Amino acid sequence: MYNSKVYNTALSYLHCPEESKEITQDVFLTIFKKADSFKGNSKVSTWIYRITINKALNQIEKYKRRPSSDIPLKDHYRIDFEHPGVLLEHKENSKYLFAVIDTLVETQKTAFILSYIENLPRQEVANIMNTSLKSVESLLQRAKTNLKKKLISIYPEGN
Amino acid sequence: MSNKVNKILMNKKEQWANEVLDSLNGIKKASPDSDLFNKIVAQLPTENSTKIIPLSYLSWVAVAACLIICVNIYVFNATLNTTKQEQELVTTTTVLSDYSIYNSN
Repeated sequence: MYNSKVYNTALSYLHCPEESKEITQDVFLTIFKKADSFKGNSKVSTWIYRITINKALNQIEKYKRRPSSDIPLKDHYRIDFEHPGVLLEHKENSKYLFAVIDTLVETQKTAFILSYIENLPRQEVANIMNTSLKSVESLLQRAKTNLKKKLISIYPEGN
Repeated sequence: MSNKVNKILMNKKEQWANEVLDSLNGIKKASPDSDLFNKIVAQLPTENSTKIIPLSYLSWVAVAACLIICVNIYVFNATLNTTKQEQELVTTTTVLSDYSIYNSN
């Protein structure tokens, strides 16, 4: 039931099926170990999404600390990720979108992924991010503006 | 003339950016392979059943248990001795009063 939610969220952050599988396993083991400490203040799905997002962001932090990744992420775009759930006619364009989503700041990225890739209601996104509905709407607005600017800057000639 | 070309190009870029932003419309959730769930389930019991207790912890427990046993033995012996002495005292007093030489009358 939560298997695809966890995997899809991890994949949206990491863009790598193998690592997303590892994160999914890790998330479920954490849920199993920490089930006793879940107080029920929020929905189970909210709790699971929080764990998933934290693990995915930690994994991204690990990449950044690797000495091999000297090139700052914002200076280059990896236009190679194809999300398996994207409709066939949008596949090519979505590669550019995923490349620029990667460059957003954490909060904007999380709000965007949960709203447009996970298709969660705004209120649930606010609950997961532990913020207000207004903040989420503002984050989404800023995320879209930034994405548009970045997309214009990487417009492929010959289109 | 060049302004007009720039404007056309900008419009084209904006239109493309909007199309890219709309490319997530109708997106479906990606699902992992079916064997992932089996892998997770297989990992759960092993993760839970193997608990490693450090040797130092065990030795502290053993020392504490020995201390408790020693204290108990000491207290038990002390109580036993006190009871014996009390009993002897009672017996001596009784004998003395039974074999009294001088009558109080």
